[in-house]
Amino acid sequence: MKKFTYLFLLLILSSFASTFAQQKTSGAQSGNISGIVTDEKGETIIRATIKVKGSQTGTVTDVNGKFTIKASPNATLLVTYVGYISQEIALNGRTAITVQLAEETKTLDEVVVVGYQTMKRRDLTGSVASVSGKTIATAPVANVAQAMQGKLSGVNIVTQDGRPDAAVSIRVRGGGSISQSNDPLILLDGVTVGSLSDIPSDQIESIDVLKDASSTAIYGARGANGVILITTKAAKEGKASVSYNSYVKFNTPEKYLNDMKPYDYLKYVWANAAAYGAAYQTPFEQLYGLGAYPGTNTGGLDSYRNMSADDMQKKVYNNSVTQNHNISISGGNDKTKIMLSANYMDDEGMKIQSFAKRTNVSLKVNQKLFDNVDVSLDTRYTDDLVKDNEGLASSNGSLLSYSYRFRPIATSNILGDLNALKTGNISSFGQAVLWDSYSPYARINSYDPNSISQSLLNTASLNWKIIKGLTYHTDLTLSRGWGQTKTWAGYVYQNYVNPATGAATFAGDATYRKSDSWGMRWSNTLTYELAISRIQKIKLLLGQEVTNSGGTYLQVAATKFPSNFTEDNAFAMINQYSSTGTLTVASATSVPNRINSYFGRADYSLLDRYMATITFRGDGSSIFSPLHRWGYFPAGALAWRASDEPLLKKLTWLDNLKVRVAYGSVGNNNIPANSWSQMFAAGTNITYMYPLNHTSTAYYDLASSAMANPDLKWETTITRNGGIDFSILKSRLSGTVEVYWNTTKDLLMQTTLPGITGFTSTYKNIGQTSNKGIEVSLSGTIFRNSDWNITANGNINFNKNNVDKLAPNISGLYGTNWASASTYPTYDYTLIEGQPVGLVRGFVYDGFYTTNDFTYANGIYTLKTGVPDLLTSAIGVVHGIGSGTADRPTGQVAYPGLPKFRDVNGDGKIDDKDVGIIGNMNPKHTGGFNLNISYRNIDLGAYFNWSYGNQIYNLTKLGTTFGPKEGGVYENKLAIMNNAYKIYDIVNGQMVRLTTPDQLNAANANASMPLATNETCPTSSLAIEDGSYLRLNTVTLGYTVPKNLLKKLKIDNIRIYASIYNVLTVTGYSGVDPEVNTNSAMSSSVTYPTTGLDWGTYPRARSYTIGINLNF
Amino acid sequence: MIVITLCIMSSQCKKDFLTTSSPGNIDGDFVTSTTTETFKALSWCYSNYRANCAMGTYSWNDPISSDAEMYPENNSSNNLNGRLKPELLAVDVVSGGFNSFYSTLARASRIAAIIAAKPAYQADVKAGKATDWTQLYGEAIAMRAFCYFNLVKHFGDVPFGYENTYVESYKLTSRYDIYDNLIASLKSVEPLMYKIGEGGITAERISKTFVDALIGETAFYAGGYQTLRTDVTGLYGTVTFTLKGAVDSKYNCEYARRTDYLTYYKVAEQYLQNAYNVNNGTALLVTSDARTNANNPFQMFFQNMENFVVSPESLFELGNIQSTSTSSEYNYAFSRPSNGGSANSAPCKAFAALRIIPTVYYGEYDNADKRRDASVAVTGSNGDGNEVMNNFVPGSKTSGGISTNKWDDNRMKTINVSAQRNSGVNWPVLRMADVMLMLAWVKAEAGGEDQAAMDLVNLIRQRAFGNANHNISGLTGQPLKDAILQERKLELLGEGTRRWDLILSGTMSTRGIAVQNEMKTMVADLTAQGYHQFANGNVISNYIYTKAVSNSPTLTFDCTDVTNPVLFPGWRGQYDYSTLAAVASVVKGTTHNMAIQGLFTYIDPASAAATTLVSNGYKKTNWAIDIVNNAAVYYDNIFGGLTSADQVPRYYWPLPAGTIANLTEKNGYGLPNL
Repeated sequence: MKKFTYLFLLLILSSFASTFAQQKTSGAQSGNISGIVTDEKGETIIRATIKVKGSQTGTVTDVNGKFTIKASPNATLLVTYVGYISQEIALNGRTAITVQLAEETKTLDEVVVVGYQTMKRRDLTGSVASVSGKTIATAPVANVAQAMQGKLSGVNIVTQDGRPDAAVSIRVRGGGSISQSNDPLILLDGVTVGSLSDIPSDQIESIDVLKDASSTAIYGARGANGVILITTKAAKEGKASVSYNSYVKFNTPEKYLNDMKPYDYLKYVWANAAAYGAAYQTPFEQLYGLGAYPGTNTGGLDSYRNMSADDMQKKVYNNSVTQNHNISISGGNDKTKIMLSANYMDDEGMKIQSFAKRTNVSLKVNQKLFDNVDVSLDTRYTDDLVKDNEGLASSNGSLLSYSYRFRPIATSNILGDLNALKTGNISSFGQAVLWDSYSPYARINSYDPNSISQSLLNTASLNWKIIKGLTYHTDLTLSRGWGQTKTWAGYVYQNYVNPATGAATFAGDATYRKSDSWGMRWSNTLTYELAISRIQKIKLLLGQEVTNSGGTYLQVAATKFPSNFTEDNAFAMINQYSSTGTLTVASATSVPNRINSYFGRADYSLLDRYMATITFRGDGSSIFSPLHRWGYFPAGALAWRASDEPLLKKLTWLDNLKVRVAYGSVGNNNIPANSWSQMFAAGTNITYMYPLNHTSTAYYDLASSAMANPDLKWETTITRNGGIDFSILKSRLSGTVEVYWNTTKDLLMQTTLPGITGFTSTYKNIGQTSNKGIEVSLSGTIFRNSDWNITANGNINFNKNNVDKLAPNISGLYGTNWASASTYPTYDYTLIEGQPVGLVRGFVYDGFYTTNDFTYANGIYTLKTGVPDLLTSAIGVVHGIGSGTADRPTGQVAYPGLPKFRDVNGDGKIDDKDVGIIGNMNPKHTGGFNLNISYRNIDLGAYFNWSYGNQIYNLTKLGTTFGPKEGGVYENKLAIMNNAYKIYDIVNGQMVRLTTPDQLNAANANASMPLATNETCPTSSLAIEDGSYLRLNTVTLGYTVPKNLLKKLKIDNIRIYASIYNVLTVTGYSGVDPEVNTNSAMSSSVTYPTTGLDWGTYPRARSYTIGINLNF
Repeated sequence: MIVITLCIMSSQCKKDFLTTSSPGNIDGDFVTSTTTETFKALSWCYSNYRANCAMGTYSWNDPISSDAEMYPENNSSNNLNGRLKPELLAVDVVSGGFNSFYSTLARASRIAAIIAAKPAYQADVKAGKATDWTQLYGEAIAMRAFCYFNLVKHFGDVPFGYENTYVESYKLTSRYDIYDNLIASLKSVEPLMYKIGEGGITAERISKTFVDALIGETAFYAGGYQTLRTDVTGLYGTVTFTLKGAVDSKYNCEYARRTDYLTYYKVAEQYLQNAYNVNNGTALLVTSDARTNANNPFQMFFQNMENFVVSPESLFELGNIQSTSTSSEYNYAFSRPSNGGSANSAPCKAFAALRIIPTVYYGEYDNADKRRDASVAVTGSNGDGNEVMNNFVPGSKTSGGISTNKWDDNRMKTINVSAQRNSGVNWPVLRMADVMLMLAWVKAEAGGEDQAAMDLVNLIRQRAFGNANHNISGLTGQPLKDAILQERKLELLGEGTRRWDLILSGTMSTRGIAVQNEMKTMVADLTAQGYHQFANGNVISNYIYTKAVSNSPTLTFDCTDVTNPVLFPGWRGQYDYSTLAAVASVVKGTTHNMAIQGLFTYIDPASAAATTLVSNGYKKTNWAIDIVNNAAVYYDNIFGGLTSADQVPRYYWPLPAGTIANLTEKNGYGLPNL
């Protein structure tokens, strides 16, 4: 794959090389005043705006960068172009001029969105990280959040895994909540949106992340986890322009799990079946023609030695193609500006039966009504279509991750009796791993879950400059959403199969849900800018905002459609289910979520170098009981632009030096509505419709399964921030260093209740967490001349999360329950005061017992004195090993090959007291760095990101090291188990039990993994791995076609590019990918984060992209 | 504009703007606005009990672990508790069931409290009349008591009375205090509840009749032997005990009963009597059979369940519905087995978790007892429309031994052949025969009422034998108690009571060891001579002779003709699946019935008789030889954790980790804590 990567790069390079050419512009035209506008390199600029100062006269440059304009020879011309510093040119009698525009140096004068207003970066007092839309667009990914990875200091982004609509976790400076979401508030042009995945990256102008309270307190109750502000591109004044961006992406899985190949699989499973008894062993031998049942397979196991594997993983998960197209049309004059954008993305999943498709249209109109009044309307329509099979990991992992457990031998290669598939324990338990008709491939194909959602977001705004310095602004947003889920579970998935013929007895089951949602947001702000004196300026913002949202749904589910029905028939005629099927109907209206807020902000500056900001917000939220509704969130910040001090101003190498400090509090109300009152609601689950006389009856259930708590109030986060911004050597090097300490108190936490209360959970304000950290970001120009421009930037983030305080009744123990009842200890994660969230607990793995640990007499292995025995409940029933008169003394658990754990407390036995912390899932630091090289028209970008010092709880690995009963007996294993300890081996073509020390020692000379016939899986450090990685996330090579080549085509700009996403990863992690974040919802009782969990994950894609940017 | 803005703002900011609710979120008053609505709130408790409490805690375990019943698989974790090996259990093995008991009783308490505050209810109480309101209140209180009763039964001493309150620390309550409390609360609601048959109340809801029985049963348990903790000082207060055997110092427990147990037996007698013939309403022991093809009123109780008819003999059964995911364990786990697939078979798979120990089937039934064949199945279904012998190879479905015959897909009025676990058969909780035999027991224990006790037993026996020729008489003291216990064993076989009879009578260890020895004797004989003869003359052999034959009707009923190999033993055969279009294609052949020779008499495989049978198409078929070959598995599955007759039996489930975490005491009896 790596080779392919390099070849691909080479190919792209050589194809561009042939078009290298540099042509000069020439010619002149006549007129009153004529001119040409170029950039610093001499390239002409098309559609630069030229206006005569103080008049309405204006024009734009043509495709050759030229213009003519009527103007008096004494006039002053104003030349502007987006991204360049505007110039005023006094004609002083000239009739022909040449204007060279310089590119805007971003940093200091960059406009930053800070909440209800914008500021120049130079005036900022708080902590704000920004990334431009241009940078975001370099990573061709479906979800913008993935493109932000490694590019923003203090923002850690982890994608769940490789599924098409993978959840992306965004953490701004760690995250203070434990049980509730730590997702930041995401605002699209000021309006709340749930996820970044709906926003096409091509439409993004910039992303600003507010990190400290001085910036986020203006968002009050919703600001505790940071605020991400997405600003979309808006129309610019000037002649109409059209831009078209498109890419095609080929995705290929970067890695599959390394499972056993046919020979090894048979050898392992045969021995395993023997350990589980004849009822498992006999049909297995019959099926494959082994042992006592060779049938026509005279070669025994050796017949399978060189057989090629039938790889179920590749059948269900393989290459796919993604395409993305975006077209934007913009234009306008000084009164009216319009921007119309449309986007279409089709992301085919690598898993069969999965995709994500998005269509998006947005229209932005801005109209100047009067000199001092603007109105605008933003309309955004999004249509998403997602097909994805699986919810979350279960005790089997996902159907996808389950696929490696399917037999690696094609049916046509089976050398025994296929009738054995339908007999005995294979028929009872082996279907999911042995029957083609129930293979993961067949089951995934028989299940069609579609979710369709449409949303319409409209924002009408009015901006009124009432008097000089005083501006009134109002935004009214109305949103509507429509959703549908259509889930079809076909006859294979539901097992509606006639066993004799394989035909469907019923077609399948259909679930059809329609939902709608609505939202309203209305904000009003007044800003007043006032120069108190020559040296003192003040800017005041006062505002009010109200939000309201809600929704309804109606769901119909019907089962057992007649076998002649297709999926489409069923959805079209859902009442035509069979008489033995059921129809259930449910509807609900959600509790409206309302917030009413008042806020203010004052920015004061003295001598333009001493700055202070005070922010205050009061929020009333319908989430809480009337006594606890209102929360108040103040913040303040000071900044000193030291470089403007006369003493430092003299230093020519120092461009900017600013020191900032901030302190403030923000809130969090992220709990379900009505958590404070115990209500009833209509029940919808047929299991609870108590039948009287065999007829179901309607029932009421509690609206929430959590115990209500009327005392719930806001969770508050105090943030303290210190920062230094600097820029030196004519902005060749600039950077920011920030130090922070965030404390979250009165945590809104879902806590476990003892079942004796009748509830197993409630929400409470308990405990305290903190995050302390340092962030450093640097950006610099390494080399620059007329041909070359080499820049680099990077950031590194150190965050130390800590649980400061837990309520005394919180045990802090919680578990993934990943192997259901077979998990030991029950709670494999823990929260401990003074330690971070994300600690895994278990035994310390110490290899396995060997014959040397025992004395052997009369077939019995008796543990030697001083060698600790295992805990029965940690390992459960062990198959293939007897007790009493066989194999080991009554009461002893240990036997050669079983895993050995460290007797941590030295009490001579391995028990629950030896269970301790075995892994910390938190990285020591994370970060990213980028290198951008441009040579003439060629640009090359390389984007890296890393995580260092975190561990991963690799359950995919652990899950192959024990022996679930029944269906588990016939499962294929990961190849690491080829070296598992053996107590059965093949002698003269028969599977025999090895008993004497000599036999065991000889068969296990190379064993490196324990015996795995135990039904319960003890969690041990065997599952803990270093998860550090360095990833070359994206490499992009672009070529901008010289403009003079494009003149005839009337095209302003063409850039073609090729990029590779997920190029290479340096890691020691043995799983499919070290960036992993399996959802924790495996068990309904798990409410705390199971950080670093790898279970049931989809492999990540490596993507090869070819794209084009066109501007007309 | 500012004016408009301010106007709208002020209307938006009116005081109750932040008070939101959904018309779908409703309060206690709404859901109890009428008695019909109130039952919609209460009915959740019944469903939750069926789906998550019984199913989550003991549905499997109670009927598979006694000296009459066992589990069929080798080395399974499903019967660790049943084998009396609780130290192998995981702490959360029944956490779902435990928590569901409390969520059920907490909901019942909540609804009871809402009803109690209603003026309509208060007026009815004041008037002293039983109405729909007082019935609903009583149902809620009884549901709570029923859950606590079962918690104590399966977990021993548990935290009591913490429902619907936020607690940070809590402790165990003595089971004896809980019993007292439950009895008092049930007595307080019993007078104003409906008997079965009154006010539209059937046995599918809790009635005064059932509440009487529950008071009786609770008192009966309070007076019985139990395994108690010795590691929690002061737990049982001033209650004093009489011990069976010695204290188990390793696991800190003892097997004992309270010295004043007779006080409780008196209460039990009074209320069981009420349930039997004072407040029984329409409930009664069914003693006649109107069927033309059978005369077995005992079997009719189970046939009623398969016919979706609430039997008059039922005091309480939980409603169920066919073809849905509503925990239809009857006809799957507790039934005659089937090798069918999980779906679309004739009939579908029946796992049959519940097996009858062969010494009971062969040695303990009188051959004239009509209950034997209706209770125990020697054949099952092959899933293709054909009857097949059960076999004694450890396993499930038709492997794993002889099974219960009380429930069978073949006998459903409407058979669901589309998927397993979908029969829709109700869950039985209590029937009149059980009440009568408990009543007989307490009468015998209390002394002086021996004849009354024997009369009750004889009512059961007359039904079982169809005449009075097998009545007991002249018994007193221990022999009488043993006779009652034995009657319960045979009458209630496979219904989950025998395990508790052993425990409460203080004989779990002695009778457990006894059945192990009976099995060992049987195996020794089988090994030595190929058969074993029981005291009643019945013989179990290593081999039997079987032949597939066609018979009409394919489903069989009572048969007393021991020479008829097709019809004897009775209650076998198959439903005629070729008449069901959905699975007609699955049905194989036409010889759907099984003829059996040598089931109760020894046929020497070397004999001429054997040769003749083989020449007549019979096949020599493994029977008890599979027990011999797997004897260790049988010894392990029948109380494998019991090694001596004076051992303290440890039969409780662990309190789950979520409750143990902040409990003052930890799990006892050697149960895990983490």
